[in-house]
Amino acid sequence: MALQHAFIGWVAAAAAALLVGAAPAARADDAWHFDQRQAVLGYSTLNAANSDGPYNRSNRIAALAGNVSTLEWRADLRLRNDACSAQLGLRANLQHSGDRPAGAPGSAAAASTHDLYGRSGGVGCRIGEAFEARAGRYVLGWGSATLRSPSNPFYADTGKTDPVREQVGVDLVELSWRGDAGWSASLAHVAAASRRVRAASGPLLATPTGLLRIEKTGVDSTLGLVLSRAGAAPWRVGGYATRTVDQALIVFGEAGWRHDRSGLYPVADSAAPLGWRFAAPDGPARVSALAGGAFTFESGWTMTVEGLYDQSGYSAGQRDAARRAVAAADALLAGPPPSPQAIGAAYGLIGSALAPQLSSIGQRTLFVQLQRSEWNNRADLALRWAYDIDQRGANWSASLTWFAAPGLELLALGSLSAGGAVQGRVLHHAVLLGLRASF
Amino acid sequence: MQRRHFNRSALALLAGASGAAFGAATSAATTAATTAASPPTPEQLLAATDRVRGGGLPGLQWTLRITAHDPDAGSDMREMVVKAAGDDSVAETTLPARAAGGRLLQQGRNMWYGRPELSKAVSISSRQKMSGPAANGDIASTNYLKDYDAVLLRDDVVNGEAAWVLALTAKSRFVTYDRIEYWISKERWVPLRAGFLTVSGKLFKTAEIEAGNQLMVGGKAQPFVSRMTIRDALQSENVSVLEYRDVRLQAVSRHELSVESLTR
Repeated sequence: MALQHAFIGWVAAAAAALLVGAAPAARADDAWHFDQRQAVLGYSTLNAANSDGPYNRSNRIAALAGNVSTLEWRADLRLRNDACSAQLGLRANLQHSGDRPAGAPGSAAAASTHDLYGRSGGVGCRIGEAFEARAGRYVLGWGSATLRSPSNPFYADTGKTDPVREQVGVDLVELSWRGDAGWSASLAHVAAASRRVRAASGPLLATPTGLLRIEKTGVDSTLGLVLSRAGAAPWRVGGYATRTVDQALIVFGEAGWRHDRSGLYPVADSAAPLGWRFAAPDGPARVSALAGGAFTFESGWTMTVEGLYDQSGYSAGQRDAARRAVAAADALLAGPPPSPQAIGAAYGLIGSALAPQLSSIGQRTLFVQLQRSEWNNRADLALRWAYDIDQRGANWSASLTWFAAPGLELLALGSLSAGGAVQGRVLHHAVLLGLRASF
Repeated sequence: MQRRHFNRSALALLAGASGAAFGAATSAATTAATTAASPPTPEQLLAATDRVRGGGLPGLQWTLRITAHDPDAGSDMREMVVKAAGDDSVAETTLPARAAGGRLLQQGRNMWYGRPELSKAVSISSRQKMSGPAANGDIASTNYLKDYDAVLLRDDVVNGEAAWVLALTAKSRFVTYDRIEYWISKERWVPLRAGFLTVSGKLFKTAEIEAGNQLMVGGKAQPFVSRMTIRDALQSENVSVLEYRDVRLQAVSRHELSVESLTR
């Protein structure tokens, strides 16, 4: 459990500073309004590990639990008046994992965990008509992409493809300006990203980070430029654009250019225990780009198609090297009982291959989503297909949110991986069933 | 059949002038007097009816309740607070609890949907359905004068009230509806009924409009829409009822109408 003291300190300090600084902006007759939303979620996930492949032989590497039950409480509190707002998003959860594989490192047949943390929170105030300052924990997101956000240094995953999982904010101070003619700019200092952000967001820019974002919104389009820099590291540059073509069609694109030294790539090394190691080379700047479109049919269904090119992903040679490195480790583990050091080296090698700190393993990905909101006033539905062209693997997923009563929803999610899909290395399929009560 | 057509330059002139002239021409008495003196142009009628639905005002807020009835799916109700300024608007859902906090933003022809728990807003098109036969494009303020070419088709009577019928044709591909037939009260210059048609002229939904709210603008009372009943033309039991209340003039900041505000 961790009710992060740094986060609370940030919020308190920012609240005091901003409320004092911006208080004159609030008119004397401004009333304060308090609103809150709470939800309790209970869901169980049934996992079917891929125990046959070299990445997770007998489920000893990922040690996936066969079932995971979660009870989660989400509270979002907001206090605001015409000029300022303070908000706090608290999360607490209890999780029980069962049917864990015997003999996996560090595993027990069942395990329970609990957690309490601030997902978001902070204070923001308008300063005059054009400026706004905020400090606290916030999620930073922009652009229209669903699969990935190549221009975002903190959230490569957009968080749009999972109706249950939330993203956790980064701790920042931000000043934003919004002009008359659709221009806006924001300058942020991101002080820290929690371990939850680090675990969920793929390659992450080191913190503290300075970030400048400039955006122009026209009548039917939006353009944005993102510059970010962590310490003395090279600048990272991103851009995004959206155009509303007509009443049913939206097209968009997004790109990022960065010197990213966090990714792990396979290197043949005769001095390494198995002849291979994974390293983060000081390589050239790499480009990621995504292009896509979303079309809404007369029936109300919306189809989204996106293509992603990520130069950070493995080349053909690197894919082959990774495959051979993992095969070597798998062969060692499958043979006569090796020494503890050799076992550690083998697990380490496969672990690096499974978590290379890249937003995508292959370089080219195709994504298609068919989605319907408020279907017959009864449900939100989505079908998703992501195809890794280089790995020749597909991941299918479907989600259903059924409105059982005004404050009660039934949740169902399923995913299935086939071929060389990255997700399929450790997990063949998974099903989630649950309830969400909102009040 | 009466039939008049007005060119686009005249429309553009009126569109620009409508905001400035707004304060001067708000009362039903004034419009009725104008009616008696000379027949109004379709653009004058659109300017007046746009104001009744919040178009062209510098800042406005109202509460909107949408009740959808579908014979197959039952009923669904949602409530939202809508803030509008010029061509931009944001609608925040307050009910039901499961959808509370969801916000729909319209900036010109761009639309986004966001919720605080999402990391970023989702770009959507005006065609995406809101609830029942109502589309996203139905909930915010409207600017038919800017978006449609207007032709006076004929006279008609709606619930005993004399009306003009205008034929509206979309000027661009961005609007929610390609063609609209629009009934406007001769006496009150408020919208009474709308028929929404496909490009080929096929009627696919209708709206009955009531203007029972009053808004004080510049010390004068101005009618404002109070209820809109949108009905599927093919399945008449499929209905969305939009009820407007707590309408008031209210300054809306640029930051409230920004994409970033949707996920906060």
